[in-house]
Amino acid sequence: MKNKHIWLFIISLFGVVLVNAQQEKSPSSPTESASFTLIEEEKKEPRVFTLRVGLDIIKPITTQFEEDYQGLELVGDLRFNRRWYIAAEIGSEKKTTQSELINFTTTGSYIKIGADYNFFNNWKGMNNALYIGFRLARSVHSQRVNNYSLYQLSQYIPQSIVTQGYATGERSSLNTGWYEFLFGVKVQLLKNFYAGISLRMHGLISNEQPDNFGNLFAPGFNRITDDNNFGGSFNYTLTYAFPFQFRKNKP
Amino acid sequence: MHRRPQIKNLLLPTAWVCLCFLFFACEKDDICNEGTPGTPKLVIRFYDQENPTEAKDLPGIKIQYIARDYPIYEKTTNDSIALPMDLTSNATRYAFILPTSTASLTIADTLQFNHHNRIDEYTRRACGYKASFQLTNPPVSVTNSASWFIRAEILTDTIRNEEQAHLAIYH
Repeated sequence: MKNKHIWLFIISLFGVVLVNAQQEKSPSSPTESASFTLIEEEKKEPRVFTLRVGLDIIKPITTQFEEDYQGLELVGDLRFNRRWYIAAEIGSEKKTTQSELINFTTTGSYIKIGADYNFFNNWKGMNNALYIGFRLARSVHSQRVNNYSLYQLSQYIPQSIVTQGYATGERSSLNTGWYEFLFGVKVQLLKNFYAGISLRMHGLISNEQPDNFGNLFAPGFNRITDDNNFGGSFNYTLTYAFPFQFRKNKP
Repeated sequence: MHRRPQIKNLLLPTAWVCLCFLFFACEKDDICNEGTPGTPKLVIRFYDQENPTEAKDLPGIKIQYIARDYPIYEKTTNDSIALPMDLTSNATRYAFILPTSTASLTIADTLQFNHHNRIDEYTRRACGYKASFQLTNPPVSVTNSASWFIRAEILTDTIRNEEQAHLAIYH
């Protein structure tokens, strides 16, 4: 059931790319709209590489308002051509989670590298984006079990929460690897300033299990459950496009 | 061939992708299935002292943890019982109260179960940790002068599950 939906989703992503690719190839006709003419003009422009960097503003805001969370994510993309961007995110998170019976803190960093494909046809001089993307991501983190209650079917003897000894303590040097499919929007607010939102679907590739504990949260991936290899996240970014551009005239 | 404005072409894929994300947002919660074995209780079997291979119940026995104001077993006729242990310490005391033919009179033994080497083992997210422990030797000490209790014998010294009896009590 679940797998069926996942494949539908992945196929739909490729579908979006194909539909747009076909549209580009279709022969132009005399009745074409004005906007299309403008795009044709843009195509003749010299090649421009633009570097755009910024940060996810959700994470610092959450850090302010949530006691159990600290996080920061830097984002960047390099415009390769009209359609393709090389994109990356680097972040660091510290989060304390209260799961059903266990309270634990995850601390670590992550990196996500991939590409974005912009399927929005901009008017000349505009650089907005409606895009889909793919990332490969990896985190390095540690898990610390702060406290837990034993799983007991009988509550006849009142149990106390274990706060030290037994299975509490730190598990370090853990790795989690995953891929992401994302869908996002970037809109120019002011000259060179962009706001963006992206929605991401995560799928686990590898998940290193700590000693006598589960890898229940990974920075950048979020919550990991036992029966499900998938997760999700979103970010809200503010980015700045550096005005110096490397131009390369096509022959 | 007329070419429609670009934005219309984008509506359908965009809506589809959004719907997909909505679906993924409904992440399944982990549930610790009913019947998943938890921290094991101590399984005790009562045997006849005169005929040690024969299981023999203590008719109408009431069993109560000394720090609790209600019994865990009342008037049980089972020859096999399971008692949760206090794993924050190395000893758990239960009062075993036997009725007599006179309604107002009972004979009671307070038994202390001695255990150690508790190990907490991770199971899964929803179920958390469950403990295992070992019985020490002697496994049972009687805190008063024994009335019905004669002796105890360890059947399984490491208690990981409740699949078999861990302790035999002869009376």
